[in-house]
Amino acid sequence: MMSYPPQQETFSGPEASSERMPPGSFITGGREQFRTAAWLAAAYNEPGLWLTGGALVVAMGMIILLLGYIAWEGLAAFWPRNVVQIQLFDGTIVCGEVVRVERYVPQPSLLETLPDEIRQKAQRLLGDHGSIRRRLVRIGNYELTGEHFRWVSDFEIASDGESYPASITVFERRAWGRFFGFLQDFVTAEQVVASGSERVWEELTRVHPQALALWKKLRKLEWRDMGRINHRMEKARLQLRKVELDYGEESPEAARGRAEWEKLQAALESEAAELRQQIELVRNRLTQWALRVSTADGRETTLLLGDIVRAYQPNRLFWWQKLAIYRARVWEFLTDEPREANSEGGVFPAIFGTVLMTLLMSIGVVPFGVVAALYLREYAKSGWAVSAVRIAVNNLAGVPSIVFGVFGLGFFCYTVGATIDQLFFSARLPAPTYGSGGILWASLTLALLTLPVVIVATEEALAAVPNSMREGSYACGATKWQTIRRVVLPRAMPGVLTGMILAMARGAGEVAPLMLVGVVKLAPELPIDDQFPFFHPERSFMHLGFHIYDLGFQSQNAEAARPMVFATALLLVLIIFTLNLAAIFIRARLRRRFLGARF
Amino acid sequence: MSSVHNHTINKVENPPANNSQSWEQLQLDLFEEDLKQAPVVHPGLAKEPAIIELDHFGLWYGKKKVLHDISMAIPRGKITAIIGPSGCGKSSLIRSINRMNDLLDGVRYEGDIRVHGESIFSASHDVIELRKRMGMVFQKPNPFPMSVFENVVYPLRIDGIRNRTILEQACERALRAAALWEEVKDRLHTSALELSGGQQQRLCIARAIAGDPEVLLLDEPCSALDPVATAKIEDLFDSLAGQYTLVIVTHNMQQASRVSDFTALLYLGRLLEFGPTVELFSRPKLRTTEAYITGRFG
Repeated sequence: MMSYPPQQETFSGPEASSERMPPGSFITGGREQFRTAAWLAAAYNEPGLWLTGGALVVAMGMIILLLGYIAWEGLAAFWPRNVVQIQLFDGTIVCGEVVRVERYVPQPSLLETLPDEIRQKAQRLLGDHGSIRRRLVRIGNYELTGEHFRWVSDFEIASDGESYPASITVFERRAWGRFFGFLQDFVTAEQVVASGSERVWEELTRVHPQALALWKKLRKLEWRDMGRINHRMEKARLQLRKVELDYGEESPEAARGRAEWEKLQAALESEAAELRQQIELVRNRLTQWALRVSTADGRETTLLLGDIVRAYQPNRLFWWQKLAIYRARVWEFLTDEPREANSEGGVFPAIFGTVLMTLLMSIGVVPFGVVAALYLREYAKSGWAVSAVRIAVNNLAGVPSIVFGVFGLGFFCYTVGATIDQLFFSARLPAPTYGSGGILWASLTLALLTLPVVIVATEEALAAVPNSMREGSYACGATKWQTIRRVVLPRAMPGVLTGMILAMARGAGEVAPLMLVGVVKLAPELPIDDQFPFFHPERSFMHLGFHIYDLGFQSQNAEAARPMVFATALLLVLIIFTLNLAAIFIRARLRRRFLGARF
Repeated sequence: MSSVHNHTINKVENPPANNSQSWEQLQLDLFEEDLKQAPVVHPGLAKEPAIIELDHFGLWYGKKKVLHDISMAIPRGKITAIIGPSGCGKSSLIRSINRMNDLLDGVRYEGDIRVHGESIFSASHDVIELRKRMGMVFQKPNPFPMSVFENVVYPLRIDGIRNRTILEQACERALRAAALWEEVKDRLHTSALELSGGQQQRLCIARAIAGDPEVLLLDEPCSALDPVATAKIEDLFDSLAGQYTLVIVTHNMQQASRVSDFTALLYLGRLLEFGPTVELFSRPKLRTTEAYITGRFG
């Protein structure tokens, strides 16, 4: 019988070799050197837990703070506030919504200019609190006052100068921003049909829906129907131009084309004239209604009913009535087009553009990324070349996004797009079709930008597919491609979707490169509409990220756009969240299907 | 056979300084002695018609030689067990028969393996066809991430068969052969990953025989299973023998003695003894074999 030879114990640590400590010496002393505060903390308080947990709490706290702030400001943006009327010491009347309150210390030189009584009041307030409250009032009525906002400090207010008049009415208008005023007369076809605040309000609420419907009709006639005629005319002109380019301007074909074009043009002209007549008719009906209103400081003006989007009397509304207005405003924000240089109205084109671009980007990036990762992981022999490619791909993820934008502009727009224009849209030149920024080029640029994310995630997913599965497939006589297509790819699909989620999150929030390759401030024509060929990948589009930048930093009326910045930011976060949630949901289903129960 | 040979001789010529013979050294001396006679092939094998012949077969992984000069003829329609301690090259040997080792980098062969007298390494021999003629079952169950049905008909799917009737018949036949039909017939279209470990392994056996191979290569098929599942699968081998030639790699000698007709003992990449199971276990011709089957090392 074989057995182990007796082995000498070779391990002898310092503790084992030195004289053994008597039991209990740990408590009674003997290892003095360990009984420091740091040692005790390490032994009993789990410093690693506190360090890591604390870091997490700080990080989460900051994220929650940011999201909470955006959500609060964004959601509050649509709440109809009460309208305050303030009389100042010099007799000026300020009337509007308080949008912001802050405390400040006025310059001494400013106080010098005030009348004695007011200065004393200001100094008393300053003495009591150390600072003075001031409120930013949205005064509106831009065509009369020339400004949208005004600061009102507490000391400026005349005694008993602050009130909330019940009959003050807020008008949201299609132009010139808000109007705050009192109703005087309701005019139909230059006849006063109602006078006095109450009667006019009744008449207004009765007629306003008709006016809105008429306005919608007018817009449809002007935009869609007129647009269609213009579109047909443009198409015919392009056909003629193409004939001229193909056969020469002097050729009989061109002459025939010109004759045809003139005939069509005449027909379309008459159609357009008819439409114009119709438009004029609707416009006349719409402009028959007008409101005579007076402002808080006594000036009178006339508002056309067709220009009014919404009118309400906030000071006499209960909160649930305000909630109805709030809901209507949120709905308008989500579904309507922007107006007033984007600072009012909705952001629907931007939502549409963001979602469509993100989806197109995903469609573009996922196949490419998966194919590239498949080659790297399944086909390529590992070596320095593959390692170099891998490092390059990872570095690509760190390239500033504006660089991708420049590349997209130079390659997609000016090279590929210009070539497409020359080959297929030569009749339209020199006006570019694909030769300038558009949603297709923007999507492809972002696809390039997010490619590394997808490649890395897919590679990891492929690496996680157990080799035993590949072997099982090969042992059945499957070829490499059959193995990849039927076994490896389905198993890696959840990981691929993870890559797609990451790519979407990165791509949807990207702004800088988009500014170069197709995003614009205002693009009322959506990339998908009811005109053949329905999908227009060459069109420029609006994007929520760029919209935020435009509202916050490019707007003429930055203060009015401020709430919209928050609302748009909130919306962008929600949309990215929703897109991710959808992808996560799909991934969870795939996981259940392909990974199943583990044992 | 040179490298290991020289190595062991050196060991014997230069005994350890303290002169106390270690357990490993005794074992190596025994092996060294036996190697002069090995491989010992029992005469009972001679009359069996062979389906797979290994002819002085050797295998390298990179610079490491793992199989040395193995010559054996695996009888047709019988169950042949390959036993030996861990790391002796059992799996490498069985994976060479359907050229699964091709998938690894740096693999080289010497000698030859013939199936029906035809070399599997010749340029004219299609490795895909070879694997289709040999079903293989692995140590751990490896069902694919698809339904039970799709798992079983996978070999037919990759042949491009789409006819539903053919697929269903093949599926039922293979599952019945693998003694799994009664358990899964009502959930053919649920994920195979929801089956238990033993069921998964029988599913893998069903998958291996669905393509109607001649040979089943089983690489420690029961090592990841509990005794009940193991017993079920061992019963299965009996019913499969005759129709298929089975080659089973196992490190479980009881299993080898229970299920196989013939047994081969591999040690350190060499074939030591190969013969009818009963003979090999009752009257081993080499002392190493005796030491191994009585459980004294390994």
